[in-house]
Amino acid sequence: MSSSSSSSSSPPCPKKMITLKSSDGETFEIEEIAALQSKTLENMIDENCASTPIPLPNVKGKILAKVVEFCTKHAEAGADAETLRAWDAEFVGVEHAIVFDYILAANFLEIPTLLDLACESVAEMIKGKTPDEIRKFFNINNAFSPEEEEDVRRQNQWAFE
Amino acid sequence: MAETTVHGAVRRESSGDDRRNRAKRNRTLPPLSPGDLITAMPDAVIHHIFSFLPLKDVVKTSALSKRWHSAWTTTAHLVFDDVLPCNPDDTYSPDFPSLVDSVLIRCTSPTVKRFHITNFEYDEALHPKLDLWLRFAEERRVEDLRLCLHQPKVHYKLPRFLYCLSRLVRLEVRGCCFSLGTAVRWPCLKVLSIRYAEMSDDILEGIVRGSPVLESLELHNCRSIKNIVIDSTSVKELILDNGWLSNFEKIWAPHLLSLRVLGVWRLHSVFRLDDVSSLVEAELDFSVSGDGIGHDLLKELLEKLCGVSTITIGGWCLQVLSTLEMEGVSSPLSKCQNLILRTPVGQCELLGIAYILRSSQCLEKLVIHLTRSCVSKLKLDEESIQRFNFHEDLLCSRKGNFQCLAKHLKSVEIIDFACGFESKHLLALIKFLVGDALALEKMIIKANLRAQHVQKLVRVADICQLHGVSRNVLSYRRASQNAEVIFDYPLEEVSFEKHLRKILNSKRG
Repeated sequence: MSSSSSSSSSPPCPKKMITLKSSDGETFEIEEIAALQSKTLENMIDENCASTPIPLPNVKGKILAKVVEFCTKHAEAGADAETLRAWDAEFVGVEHAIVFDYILAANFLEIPTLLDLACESVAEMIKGKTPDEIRKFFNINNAFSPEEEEDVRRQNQWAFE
Repeated sequence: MAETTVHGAVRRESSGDDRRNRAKRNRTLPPLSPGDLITAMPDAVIHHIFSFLPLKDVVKTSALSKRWHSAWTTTAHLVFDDVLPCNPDDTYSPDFPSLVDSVLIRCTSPTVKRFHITNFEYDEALHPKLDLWLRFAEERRVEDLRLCLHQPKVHYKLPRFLYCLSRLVRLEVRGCCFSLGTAVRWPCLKVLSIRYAEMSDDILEGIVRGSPVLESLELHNCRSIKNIVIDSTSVKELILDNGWLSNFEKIWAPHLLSLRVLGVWRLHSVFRLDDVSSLVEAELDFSVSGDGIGHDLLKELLEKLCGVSTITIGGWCLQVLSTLEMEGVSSPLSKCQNLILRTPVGQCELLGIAYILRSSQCLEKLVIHLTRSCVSKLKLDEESIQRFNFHEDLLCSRKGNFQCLAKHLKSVEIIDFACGFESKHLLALIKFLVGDALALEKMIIKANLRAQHVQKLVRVADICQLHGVSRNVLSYRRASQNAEVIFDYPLEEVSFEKHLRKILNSKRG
């Protein structure tokens, strides 16, 4: 596949970087423009708390690294929608425990694009499965007795067909 | 954990202990198993996940465990679709109204953001029931309301309280009718789509007046409109789709930015664009059945749209332009910079493309979305079809300069090449563009090969043809030294076959 090398003009001023610190002490640098995808970080930047490394006690280093990667990718100019969609699909194509970590991080940092992506991928894991299959997949303890479960099914029979 | 509503206010909710606290108050429940991450999620997150699921799956979660039993009743998205059961052996075939009732009774969320009832087999006896459901939506401060009735014999008269919904942002109705008696007050409404409705100029005016922040208006199969008058500065987009509008006269919308005219129309006379002076984007992808007014209509429209910078034209309109071209009608000079064509490129369209290219003297970007065939074909007599006869220099021999080619055209994109690469007309067009566009920088050809395309190619053994045609295109004489011709698939034989096999083996088509 032949591709053209496009000449892009480099920005006149250096990109402003923000430092983030994870719960386990790791630090990460992120471009300010990428950090603005997080409403939490945007508010902090606005109030000028962004000079010292911003501590994020709710996010582990391993996850914060991926969140930085996500925000950086989504802040890139000129990415076409199809390529970005494919990249997103790969990003959440991981074991569901990690997807939940993404959800919690996106919720805390208020990153709507990441929250949507991760929640939608969990929805895909639930869609079309029977309650049994869902329980097995997510390790949910079933506290119902067989009679109680019958009761529940009968209350909304149409949903269980 | 914060939840932002449409109105911009941020509400901070207590972090997700609601369900667990309630559970603790009830009785001692077995502890969550260590691997159970989903039950521990905050309520706001569970709601967000629910918003991506069909209602059936949301309700099913009630059977997961005691903690999940009532989680679904707090969902803020209620989407009811009255489709026929796909499995005829279903022993339990629910009666749609009872189903909706049973869910609404259990729903405890104070705000139901999305309330959709679609494909509803409505008859007059269900009028009071539907009123009740809409009352529910109103009380729960609905923001996204959709009411689509499936071919009702009598249209549903919208209840008076529906005309004053203070939080409504999106509304779509199908098969309903409006009345003039009540003033419309939709202070937050941004997107409105009205399908299969009896309208009138007054009703439309009342709706626009009562929706001060309306941005997008779609009228699909609406009768009895004579004049569309929109003097509101907020409405940016107008979509007119399918219509039997025998008296339609004019559009007057001086602040409109985008106009789309789509679908099949039955018109008896030309309608005018009285004032669309702010338009930056126009789409003409429609056809007109009966009465042969295509000529005059297209001439009028193109004249009024000559200041618009992005224009999209569909196959039927191009066929009409082909007849204009054959008759030697001079094309109006237009300021169009981006031209998008959604059409096959065949005998009946090629001259129309020449017509519009000559008219677009400042054209910088041309995109052609190839389609298999026109939805409606222009009815032409034998003589006209004869005059479209193809010969190699058809385009080059047209009178008049193609100004855009001399100076401005920088980029050409051909999309879905796999759909039309066999057409000699398309290849002649590509050859013409590459050979005459002095400022051309890129010609991008995307085959968008999908599994069904590839299967067809493999069966008919046309791989060689696509391959050969592509390499041929690479060899066309180029007027511009800098011009690059780029394909989105590899051209060396071995890598090409590998590419096709990869597509056939991939799950997604």
